[in-house]
Amino acid sequence: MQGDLLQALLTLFSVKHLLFLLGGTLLGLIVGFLPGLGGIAALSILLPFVYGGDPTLVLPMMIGLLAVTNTSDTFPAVLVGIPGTSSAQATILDGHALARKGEAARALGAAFSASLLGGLFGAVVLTLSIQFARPLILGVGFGEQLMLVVLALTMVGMLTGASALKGLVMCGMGLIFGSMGAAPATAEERLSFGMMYLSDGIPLVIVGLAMFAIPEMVDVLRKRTTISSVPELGSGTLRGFRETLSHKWLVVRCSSLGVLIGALPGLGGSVTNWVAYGHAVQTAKDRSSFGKGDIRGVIGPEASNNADNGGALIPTLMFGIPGSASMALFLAALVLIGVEPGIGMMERHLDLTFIIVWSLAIANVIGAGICLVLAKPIARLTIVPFARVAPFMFVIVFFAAYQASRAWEDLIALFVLGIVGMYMKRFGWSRPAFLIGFVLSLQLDASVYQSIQVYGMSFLERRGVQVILALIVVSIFVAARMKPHREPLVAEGPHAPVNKSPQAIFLGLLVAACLYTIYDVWHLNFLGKVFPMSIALVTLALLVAAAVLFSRNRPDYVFFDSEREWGDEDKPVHSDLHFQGWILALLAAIGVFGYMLGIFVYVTVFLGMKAGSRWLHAIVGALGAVTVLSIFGHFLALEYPRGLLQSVASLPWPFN
Amino acid sequence: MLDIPGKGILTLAAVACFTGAPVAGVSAQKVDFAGKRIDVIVPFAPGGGSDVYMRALQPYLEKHLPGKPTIIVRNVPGSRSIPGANQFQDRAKPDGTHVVVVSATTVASFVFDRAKVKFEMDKWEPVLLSPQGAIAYASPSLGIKGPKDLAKLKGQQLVFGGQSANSGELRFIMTLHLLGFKVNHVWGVNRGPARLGFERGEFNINYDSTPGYLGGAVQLVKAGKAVPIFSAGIINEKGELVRDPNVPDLPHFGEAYELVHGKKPAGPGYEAWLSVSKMNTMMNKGIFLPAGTPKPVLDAWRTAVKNLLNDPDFDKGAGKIIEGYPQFIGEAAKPIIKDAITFSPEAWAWLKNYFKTEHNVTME
Repeated sequence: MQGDLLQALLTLFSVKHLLFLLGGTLLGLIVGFLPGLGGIAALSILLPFVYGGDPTLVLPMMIGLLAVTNTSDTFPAVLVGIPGTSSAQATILDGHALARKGEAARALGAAFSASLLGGLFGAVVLTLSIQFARPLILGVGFGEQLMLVVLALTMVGMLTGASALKGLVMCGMGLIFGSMGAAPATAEERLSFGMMYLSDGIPLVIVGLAMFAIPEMVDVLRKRTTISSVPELGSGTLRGFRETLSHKWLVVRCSSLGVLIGALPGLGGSVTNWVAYGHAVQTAKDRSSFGKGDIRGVIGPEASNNADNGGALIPTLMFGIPGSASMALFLAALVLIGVEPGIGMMERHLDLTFIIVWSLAIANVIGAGICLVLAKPIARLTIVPFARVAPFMFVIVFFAAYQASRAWEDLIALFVLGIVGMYMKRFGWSRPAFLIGFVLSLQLDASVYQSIQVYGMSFLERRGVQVILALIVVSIFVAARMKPHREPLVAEGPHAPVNKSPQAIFLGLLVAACLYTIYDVWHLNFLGKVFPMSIALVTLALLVAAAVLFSRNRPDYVFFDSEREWGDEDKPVHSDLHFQGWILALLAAIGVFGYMLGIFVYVTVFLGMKAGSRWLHAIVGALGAVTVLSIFGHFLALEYPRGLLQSVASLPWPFN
Repeated sequence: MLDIPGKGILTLAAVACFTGAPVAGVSAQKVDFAGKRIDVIVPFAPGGGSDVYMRALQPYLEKHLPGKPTIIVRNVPGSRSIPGANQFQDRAKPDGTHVVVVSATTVASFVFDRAKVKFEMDKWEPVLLSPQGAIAYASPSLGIKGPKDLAKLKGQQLVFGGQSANSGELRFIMTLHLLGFKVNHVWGVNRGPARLGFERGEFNINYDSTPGYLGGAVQLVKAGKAVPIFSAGIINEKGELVRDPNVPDLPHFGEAYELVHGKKPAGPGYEAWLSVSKMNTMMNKGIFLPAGTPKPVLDAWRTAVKNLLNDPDFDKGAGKIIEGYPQFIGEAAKPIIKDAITFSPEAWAWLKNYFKTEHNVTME
C-alpha cells in the first residue's frame, strides 16, 4: 500500500499531471473568489471535457478545483463581509471584525494557513480512514442523524448575543423560516404564499448574503469612510500564520469536526463552519473578544471548511453516495471516466484513490500558498474609500444572489431580507442564531419524523444515539454556564428603554410572523404541520417573555439600538433609509435596463454622486465591471437578470 | 450472477433508432448553425441526472449538428422543473437554437400540477427520448434469495425510504401496492441516502434507477447484502411490457405480479401503472424543440442525434449515459409521449383514489 501511495505521488509530479492539477486549482480559486459561484459552477463546465480523458489527468484537475473554493472564498468574507459560499459565513463574524480594525492581512494570513492545515489534515484522514470508514458511516442511522442535528443546534447557545432570550427567538425564527417549502413527510407546501419561487424555500446563499453582506456594507457606508478604522494595514500575514500555528490544537479539533461532518450523513457542509465556530467559543477560556475580532474565530471555521472536502470524499468514494452537490457532479464524472466508486473501490482503483488523496493535499498547498501571497495586496481594499468600492460590491452581491436559482425573485428576496438583516443588526437580534436555525430546519424536521417512522421511540435505545445525547447535554451545560461578555446596563446606554417604538415595531413583526405561521400550516396534515407549528408556539412564548421585559421601563439586554451608540454630534449623516434607497435603485436599474446596462448606469451614478469621482473615471470603472462580469459570463455560461428593456428590444451581447 | 451486457446492447440501441425514426434520407443541408450559440435549458440544478445527461451529449451534439455550433447549458433549477420549463415556453424561438431537457419529474409536473404549469409539453417537438429503467432489490433478512421467493414478502413489514408519493418514485411505490405488500413509507429521503439506509438495515426494500443500480447497488448484490427482485421493465414498440435489457435475467413488474398473485396483471390499477411507467421510465430523459419548429430544422436535429448515437466515440465515452436502452428519435417518440400524458378516466380515478387512501394526498 505504501508503494502505491508513493507511486501515485510520483505520477502527479510529472509536468503534465502537475499542469492539470494547477489548472484546476487556479480555476477553483477564481470561482471561489467570486461570490455566488462555487466549485459546482466550474465543475459542470469541465464535465463535457472529462469523458474518455485519462483519469490520472482529469482527477487531479477536478480535485484541485473542489479543494480550494473554500480557501479563496475567505477574501470577500473577511474583507467586505460577503459570504461568497455558505461555508464562509461563520468566518465573517471575527474575520470581518478584524478587517475593520485594520488587521485584514492578519486575519487572511491566519485563515489561509488554517485552510492549508485543515485541508492537509482532511487528506491525511481520508488516507487513513479509507479502509475503516465504512462501519463508522454505517453506524450513523436516522436516530444518530437526528442527534447530530440537535448537537449542531446547541451551538446557538454560543451565539445568542447579549440577550439569550432574543438569541433563542432568532433561532426559532430561523427554524420557521427554513421550514418554508415542501414538508419532508407529506410534501405539502408551507409558508409559500402560493408563490412558485417559495415552494423550495429561499436559497441559503441569499439568506447568508442578506444577513451579512448587505447590513455590513451599509454599516460601513454610513459610519466610516474606509472598512478599516486605521489608515495603515496593521500586523501582517505572517503574524496570522504564526497565530494559527500557536493554536494548533484548535486547528486539529476543528479539522476533525470538518472531516466528521463532511463524512457522516445528516449534516451538510454549510453547517460545518458554524459548528467549528461554536466549538472555538465553547473551548475558549477568555471569550470576551469573540465577535469583535478574535483570531480563533477565524482559525476554527477556516480549518474546518477545508477539512470538510476530505470528509465529503469518503462517502463519495466508499459508497458512491455524494456528500454534497459538488460531490454529486464529481461522482457523475467518476462514473463517466470509468471509475466505479462504492464497495471495493480500494481494490479496484487503489492507484486512482491515492491520486485523489495526493491531489487534495497538493491543491490545498498551492491554493493556500497563492492566497497567502495575494493576501496583503488584496487586503489594501480595506483602506481605500469604501464609497468607491461599494457599488462594485453591491452589483457583485446581486450577481451572486441571482446565481442561486436564476430567477428575478432571487434579487427581490435578497433586497427584502437584506433590509430585515439591517434591522436585526441594529436592534441586536442575533443573525448567526437565525442562520443556524435556518440551515438546520429541514434536516431537523425530516430526521425527527424519519427516526420515529423507522424506530418509534426505540431509537433512543441505540448506543450511538445515547453517546451523542451525552454530548448534547454537555454542550447545553456549557452554553447555560456561559456569561456573555456584555457592556454594563446604564441609564443612557444602548440597552436603555429610550425611543422604543422602532424596536417595538420589529418585535411586533416577529410576533406576526409566528402567528401567520400557525395560521398557514393549520389546515395541513399532522405530519406536515407538527414541526413548524411547535416551533412557532415556542418562539411565540419566548417573544411574549421578551415583550414583558420590554414593557418594564428599565434598562435591559432585551433592548438594543445601535443608533444609540453615539451622541448627537457624531451621528452618521445618512439614515438606514438613505442606503436602502440606494440598494433599491440598483434593483430598479436592473429591472429597467437588465443586469449589464443596469450596473453600468448604477456604478457610474454611484461613483459620480456618492464617491465624488470624476464622471470619466466613473464611466471607466463601470465599464470595467461590465467587462469583467461579461467575460466571466461567457466562459462559465452564466446568465444575468433581464430587464424591461430586454423584453421589448433585442440587444447585442453582453446586454441581452 | 447478473450478466450486464455492454457494447452489444448499445449497438442494439442504435438499430432501434433506425427502425424507430423515419427521418433518414431527408436533406438537412439548408439548415446551418455555424457560428451560432445553442441555448439549452436544463430545468434542474447542476449535478442532477438531467444535467449530467445533457452535458454528456453536449460535445457530441456540437460535433454532429450542421455548422458545429456552440452549446450553452443553462440550469434553471427548482420547483419540480416547472419554472425552467415555463421559461422555455415563454422565450424559446422555433429556429433550432433553443432546446429544453425534460425528465420524468417534468412530465409528472405537467400531468399532476396543472395549476402552475404554463408550458405545453404536448405541443413541443421531441428530438430524443431516452428511457431509464428501475431495478428493485430487497434485504436478504426478509428470507428471500431471488425473484422466485417474491411471494414470501407478502405479509412481512417492508420499510421503504423515498422522496415523496407524487414524485418520480411513483412507478415504484405503485408496484409495491399492486403486489399487495405491507409497506411503511418513510418520506423525505433521496435515492442516495435511501441506499445508505438500506445498507444500514433501516430500510429492507429499495430500488435504484439503472445507473444507480449498475454503479452502486450491484456491489451490494455481489456482497450478498441485497437481492434483486424485479425491474420496472420497459415498453416495446408494440406497447407491451418487456424485460429491461440491462437486467435480462430479472423478471419485469408484470412477471413479478404473476409470481405473487398467480395471474397476469389487469384492471384500472395496472393501466394507471402502465401510464405512470411511461411517464417515469420511457420519458425519463428527453430533448425537445419548441412548438412550430420548421421541418428542416427538426430534421437537422434528428439527423444529428441519429449520427451521434452511431458515433463510435460516443459509444466508447459518454454512451454509458443511455445505458443500452432503445432511443426514440422525433416522430417515433410521439406515441409514447401521448400515452404518458393521457390517462383513461378509469385509470385516473384509480390513481386519485390511490393517492387519497394510501398517501393522504389530494389530486386536483
